[in-house]
Amino acid sequence: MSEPIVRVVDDDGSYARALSRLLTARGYQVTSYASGAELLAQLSSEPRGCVVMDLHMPGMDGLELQSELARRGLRLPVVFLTGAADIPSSVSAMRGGAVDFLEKRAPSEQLTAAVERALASDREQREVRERFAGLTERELEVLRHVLRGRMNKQIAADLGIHERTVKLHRTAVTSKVGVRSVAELATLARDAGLV
Amino acid sequence: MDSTLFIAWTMVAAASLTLAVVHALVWLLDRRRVDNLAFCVLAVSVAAIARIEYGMMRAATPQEYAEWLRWIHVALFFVALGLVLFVRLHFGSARMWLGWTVIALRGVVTLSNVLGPAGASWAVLRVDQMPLFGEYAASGVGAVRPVQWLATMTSILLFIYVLDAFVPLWRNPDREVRRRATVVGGGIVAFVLIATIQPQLVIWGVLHMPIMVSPAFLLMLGVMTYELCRDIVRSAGIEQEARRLRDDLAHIARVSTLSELSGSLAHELNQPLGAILRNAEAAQLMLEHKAPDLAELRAIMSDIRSDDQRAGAIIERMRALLKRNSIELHDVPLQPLAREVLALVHTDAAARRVTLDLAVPEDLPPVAGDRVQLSQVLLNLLVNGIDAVSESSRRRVAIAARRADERTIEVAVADSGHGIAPAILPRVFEPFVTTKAKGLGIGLAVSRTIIEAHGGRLWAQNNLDSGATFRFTLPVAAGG
Repeated sequence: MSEPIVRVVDDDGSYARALSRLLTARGYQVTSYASGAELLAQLSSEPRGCVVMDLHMPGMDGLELQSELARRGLRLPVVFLTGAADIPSSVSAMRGGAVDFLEKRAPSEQLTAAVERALASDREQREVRERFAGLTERELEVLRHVLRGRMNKQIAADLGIHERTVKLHRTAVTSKVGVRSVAELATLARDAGLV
Repeated sequence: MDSTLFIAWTMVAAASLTLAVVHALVWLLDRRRVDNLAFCVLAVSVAAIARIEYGMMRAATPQEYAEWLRWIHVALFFVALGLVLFVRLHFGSARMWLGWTVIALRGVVTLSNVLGPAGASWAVLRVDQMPLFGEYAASGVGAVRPVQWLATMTSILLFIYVLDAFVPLWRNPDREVRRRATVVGGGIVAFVLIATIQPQLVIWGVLHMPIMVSPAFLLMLGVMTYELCRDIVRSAGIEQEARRLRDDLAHIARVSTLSELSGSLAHELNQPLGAILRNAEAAQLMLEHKAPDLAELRAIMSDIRSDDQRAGAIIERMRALLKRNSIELHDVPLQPLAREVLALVHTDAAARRVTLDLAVPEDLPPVAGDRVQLSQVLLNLLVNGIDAVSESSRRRVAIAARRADERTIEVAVADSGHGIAPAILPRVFEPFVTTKAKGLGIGLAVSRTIIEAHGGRLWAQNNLDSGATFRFTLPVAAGG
């Protein structure tokens, strides 16, 4: 299992370098990129860690990069940095799922805390996804139907299987994921990005 | 010959000629000052009259006396011409038909005296030597001829003409105009009156003394000179005031552009300041290690130094823009100037996803100009361009420059916006004409003033495809 990486994206080379040094000194694994395009080109399909990026960048700006990551199904938590925060862009950043929105000169503790939160959120997402990873194709199919709120009888009819088989699949899902209620299952499935 | 009369009349002539030379120079330096030319004609004529009067006073025979008289009419014609024109040109309130009548009648009197037999208007029968300032001066006694009626009438008309020109000024509601009319108009009227009455009384035989009009005319010249000099001094003051106002306006425009940009300036400053902070924090953490990486620490220190300089340069640019200063011509290379201005708006443009292009050839010769004011113009045009494209699908603003000819460089700021509405196009450079909700409408007006103060032109046109282009010309620096 590889280390989680903090990816710094900033067109201002000097700031990117300084931030990378600080985060490295704090013990993080850091790589830095001069643009969103550079990050996207070098990202693996199953990246771990988070992205700390400048909001204002020429070419692809921070918000565009955020939505491009989401479009590609890369669920890396994002921390935004900006020279001077303005309300409209911070609102759309948070709406896009940003972990935090900080000024470039924010206190180091705030910055570290934001990175920590981002990494923690990445870790949780991963754990949840791993819990769902053990499910078979058929169990996943049943799970999707359950999450849509369908009765066992309907699911059995849709999938062309016996109602008792559906019940067996459901039990397998709840025990593999480790939940007791459908509500809990729904929350975790959303965190794992299944819905 | 060093008699009191000789000295006095020579001085009158010399003073008049000096004034004539001064006013001739004023007119030569500024050809629009035709009133100074009229004054010059007047002053030369007064000098001539002084000379002729002295000749008359020294005349031994009636023939000699009459010969001088013939020439005094020529001088009087030019006095009338100069005075009529001066009053008209300088005060503008005179009835010109009256003036032309005076000049025409004076012309007739002069012609009949010059071309006709001696003493056409006043036949001098004898000259009396009478005491004057402890000497003897010749005084003519003679018979009035019909032409003299015309001459006397001309003098009265001239007096009426001058009086008539000043009456409306005395009634002017403006106190300053009334004061001027009293001092200058009153002076001129009084001295014209004296210069008219004295010879008439002599000629008509009421007074028995030499004809002496030049001293009164000299005093009149003095009053006029006072008026004209005040005018020149005042107009210099007005010019200074206008320059100061222009600088103030440029200052206001700079401040307002800057306040529009202040957000992005804060952003720009936070960039190097943030880098310094993060570097310092990193260094602090690294120093807590037992064996800190010295090479990395050195790299951090050098980065901190260059970021500090970067922040300093931003502040310097801001300060230079905010400073209130008048035009100072230097050799200004355009490319670095354009780069600096682009750096100022870069963040703002990036935030609004506007692409900025720079096409200024490196080998372009420098222009003669004021760095700060020229960057002000470029900044204005760029900010306008960015505003113009921020709502359109293609967001591009380009600065280009080329050598238009041997002595001119042309700079163009082109945008890909919607262009300028034809209704507004002719008026975009007028102050307080704006299409921006929060704009003052002085940016372009100030820009044009600045470019014109550099001896260039600034104009706008819509592009064939989309958007508008603002172009201005600047002179190539002397060495370029």
